[in-house]
Amino acid sequence: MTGESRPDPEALLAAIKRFEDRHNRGKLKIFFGMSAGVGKTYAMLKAAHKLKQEGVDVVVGYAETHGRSETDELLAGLELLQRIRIDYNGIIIEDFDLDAAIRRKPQVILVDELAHTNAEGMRHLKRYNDVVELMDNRINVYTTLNVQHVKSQSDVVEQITGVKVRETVPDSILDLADSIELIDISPEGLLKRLSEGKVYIPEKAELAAARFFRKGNITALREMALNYVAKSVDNDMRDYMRAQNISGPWKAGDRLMVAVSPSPYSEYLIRWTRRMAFNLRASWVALYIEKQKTLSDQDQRCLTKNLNLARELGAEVISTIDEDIVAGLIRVAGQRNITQIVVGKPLRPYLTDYFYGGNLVERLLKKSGDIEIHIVSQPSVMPKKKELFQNWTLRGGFNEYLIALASVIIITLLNFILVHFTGYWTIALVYLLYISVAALFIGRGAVFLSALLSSVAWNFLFIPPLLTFRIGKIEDIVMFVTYFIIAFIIGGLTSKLHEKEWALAVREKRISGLYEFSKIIGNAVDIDESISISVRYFEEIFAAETAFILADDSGNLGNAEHEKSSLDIGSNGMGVAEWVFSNRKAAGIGTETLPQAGALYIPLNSGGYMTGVLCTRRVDGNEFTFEQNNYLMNIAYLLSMRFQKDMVSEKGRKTKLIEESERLYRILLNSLSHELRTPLTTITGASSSLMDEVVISKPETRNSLVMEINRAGVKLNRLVDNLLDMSRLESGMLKLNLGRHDISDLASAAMRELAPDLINHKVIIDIADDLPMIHMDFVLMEQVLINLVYNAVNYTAPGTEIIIKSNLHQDHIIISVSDNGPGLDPADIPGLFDKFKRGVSTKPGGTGLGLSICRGIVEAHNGTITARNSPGSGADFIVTLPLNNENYE
Amino acid sequence: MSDGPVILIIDDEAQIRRMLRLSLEAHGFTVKEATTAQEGLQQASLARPDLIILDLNLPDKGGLETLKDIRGWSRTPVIVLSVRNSEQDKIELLDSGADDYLTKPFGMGELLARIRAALRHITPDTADGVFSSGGLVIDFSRRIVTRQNEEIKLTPTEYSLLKLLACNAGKVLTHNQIIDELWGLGSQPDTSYLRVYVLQLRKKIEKDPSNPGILITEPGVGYRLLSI
Repeated sequence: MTGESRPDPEALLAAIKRFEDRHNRGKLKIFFGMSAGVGKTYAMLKAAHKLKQEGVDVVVGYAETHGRSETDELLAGLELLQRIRIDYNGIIIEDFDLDAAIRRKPQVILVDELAHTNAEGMRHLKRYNDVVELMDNRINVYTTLNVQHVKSQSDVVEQITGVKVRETVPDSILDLADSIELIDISPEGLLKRLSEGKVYIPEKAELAAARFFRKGNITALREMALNYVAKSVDNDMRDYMRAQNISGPWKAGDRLMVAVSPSPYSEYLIRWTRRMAFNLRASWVALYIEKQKTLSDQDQRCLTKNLNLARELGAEVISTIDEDIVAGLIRVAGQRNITQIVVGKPLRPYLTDYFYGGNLVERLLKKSGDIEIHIVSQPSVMPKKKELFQNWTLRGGFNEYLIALASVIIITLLNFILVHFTGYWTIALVYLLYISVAALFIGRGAVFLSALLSSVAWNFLFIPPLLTFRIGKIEDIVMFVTYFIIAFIIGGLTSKLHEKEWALAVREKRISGLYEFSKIIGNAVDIDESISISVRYFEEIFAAETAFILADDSGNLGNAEHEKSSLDIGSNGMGVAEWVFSNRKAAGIGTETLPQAGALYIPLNSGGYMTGVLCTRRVDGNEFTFEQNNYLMNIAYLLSMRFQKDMVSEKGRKTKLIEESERLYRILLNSLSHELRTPLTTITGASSSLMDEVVISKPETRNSLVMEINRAGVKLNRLVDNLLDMSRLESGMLKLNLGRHDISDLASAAMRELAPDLINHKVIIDIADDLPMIHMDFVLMEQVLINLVYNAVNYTAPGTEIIIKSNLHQDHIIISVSDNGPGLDPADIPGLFDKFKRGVSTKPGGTGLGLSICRGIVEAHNGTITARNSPGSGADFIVTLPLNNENYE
Repeated sequence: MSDGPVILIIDDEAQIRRMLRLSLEAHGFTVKEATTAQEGLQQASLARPDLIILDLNLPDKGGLETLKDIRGWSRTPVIVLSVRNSEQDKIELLDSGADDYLTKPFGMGELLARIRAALRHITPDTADGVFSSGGLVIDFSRRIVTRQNEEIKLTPTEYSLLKLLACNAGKVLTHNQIIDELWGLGSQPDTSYLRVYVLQLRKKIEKDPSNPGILITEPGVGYRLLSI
């Protein structure tokens, strides 16, 4: 095939991605050995010395010398990182200080014992998590590892040595290694070192060690170690050959898929597939096919364990819903371009095999087409299923069996009546009808029970001779056997159809659930609403409390939960959230990082843009199931996209706001400088004129100039008052000094104040005599009137009339200021009372504050102010104040 | 009073117009007022003022456009009232034909001096007479410059510069106007040359060149020779 000589594009892409990932992160070197005592730590320290000589900044993060003198000596001359001390129930435990290492940020750090399990209370469960974080921080790491701690090898080690390996490292971590250096020693050499006491063995493990360190075991382990390293070298070479387009013996683009079930047997299948995939250098998928049947707690645990194992071993874990495992396998294989499927060998024949036309393997072989099928048999050490009928769970289905029993009894009673009219053969048809209907509503087991019971009932109660199981006539025997078979087939087929429908419905429900969620999130007006919707949603769907911590404008994580959150994560939780945010990985319950955190922390990452962290916790404190986890991740993705969109538009809005306030600022400065300069110019000009000898000799001119100076001063004062009023209104510091006052009093006071400006205008005051006194702040309301009249003076030609009117209208007092000038530009009327708003066609000058101050003051009095063009000509400004105005303040 | 020179004030602020009218009338000027550019242009053609005081901030039209409109048909001196921080506007105005400018707020003495300088400029007899200011005497016909009765030796360029400033004494000249006059139109408007000449000239004609009393710098705009 020509395809085989060409590098597979996907494989090339994967290699590029690996290369880029490696480029962006620190490098990992593993000193790999077959067991303790081969000298890995020694070799690592030696290498560190060499690096130091070359001028590399190298630090010993954690090295366990177990008091061996030659290793201890090597520590001298190297920088040692202070270990963290943790008080664990009164016992002080020393451990590797990850944060200190990240702060120190050396070029190379030595961290011994990759498989080590961290002390409780540390950030990560395992040391390899620490190592990954170090690499993410672009620190190169040297570490040590024994072959028995490699996850995919641990079961083999257990089989060989009989020692259960507890601390394991996922193979995916080993895949990250840039180089693996094998530290080898002959079995004889190791045994010699052991007898010389040079191999560290914890005291309590001496017995196990004696079993472990047998020559046969050591040889086997050595072979495994050599084999493992040889394979990884081989894979490296293949990567290289692929990149260089050197043709090789591989079959390009293999993808493996293993079917995972809650059975403990699956674990073996998963490991087998991992080894196979590793040897083929292929990617692999672990598929769980969900059925209608609810899993028992134990099965659920077992399944989660199996799936986690697959994930740790580097599989992509997916799940689908299908009643028929074969159909599910074939469907997903098609979707994912799977080339090889791994399934377990069936342990025993099932009754259902006959309905489906062969057992799982037979049917899979028939339908698989091009796909290769591996059938892996179960090793003998695997525990057998305890009970044959454990699978036949009654949980949830128990009621169905009761219903089946009851229905058969009812139908039988009906048949007792019917039999007198129709004869006993028709009874069989009635039973069949019942079974086909029942299969639509109850599970398969219950249908079969119905079929069995009904056939027994028919035989015993209706077929002569009655009340015996004996059947007399030959045609009755044929009839009975036929009935029995038809009942089972109809029951089986109908319930299969029903189950298929159900699976489809569940799949659809999940998709439509996501769709619904995205729809309601899409309808939310802002982030706040999206969050409160999500919090409610999480409560309903997962019975979980939820907190959101969002990124701020500068792209850092905020320092508190969003106010709509229903979960208080506390300062420890914030620490976890910080970690999740900067590392873009989930942490907390059900993960390997900070599993003791009590809640699940999911990064809200949309296309590389971090919008925050979602933190959720089931009210019952349990882990989320695999399904829920998947669903959560999908929702987190939807949310982060939504948040990103909002944050971007929010940023745009803020920028606009800043631009707008800058514009207002410019307008204010311009108008202020104009407003200030006019009186200042008058004062400067007039006062300098007063020093002029020519002017001094003319008393009339002098008086006029002094008057101008005075007026300019008043104008300046008015401007300052307006500015102060505005800032008091803005800051909410405006306190009304309320008292009962007369409107006509108010008008005359304002007129006195404005007298110098009113020379050229005629003011008509028309105030009804019977107006009651009104509750108001006299000085402020006078300011309103002054501003309105002053505007009228400024915007109309000399000689124009200005009318101040006041009357009672229901329970309001209306004060209006009208002129017969040119009126308002209709375009100006909306927003006329806004701050710094200047009319479209108004002349320059004026602060644009007067009317907005009027509104502020009137509204503080619970009143309204409006403007309109009067029917004739000119503008009307109308202030409405409530008469009964005593209850505000 | 009504026989004095006619001054047209174009300004939209009534208060400033009133103040100017009072001060100018006291000094014998006849004052006409206009509140908009439109009205100002009308008055300028009807009343035939001897000088126009033009506010830059008019409601209906920009100051520069109003000036150009006036310059379209009239050589009447124009003094512009502007605000601070608009050197570029000032230069543009002066280059477009304004005779002088004043920054608000201003002293009346200053305005009167500018008015006098602008009005004197239109009486065309300075060029062949004698100019004297603060002990500095320029005899244009003999081409002799003296300070405190001591003759000063000037290079041809320095003399041309001094003569140009003296002919426009009291009035600001922009860098461009000076460069065009001295080196011809279309010369590279490199003001640093001009600065060097002004510096040299000051050393010769000023009592204290570091604190000039006659040749004044108008920051960002140009130079002015005071007639004291």
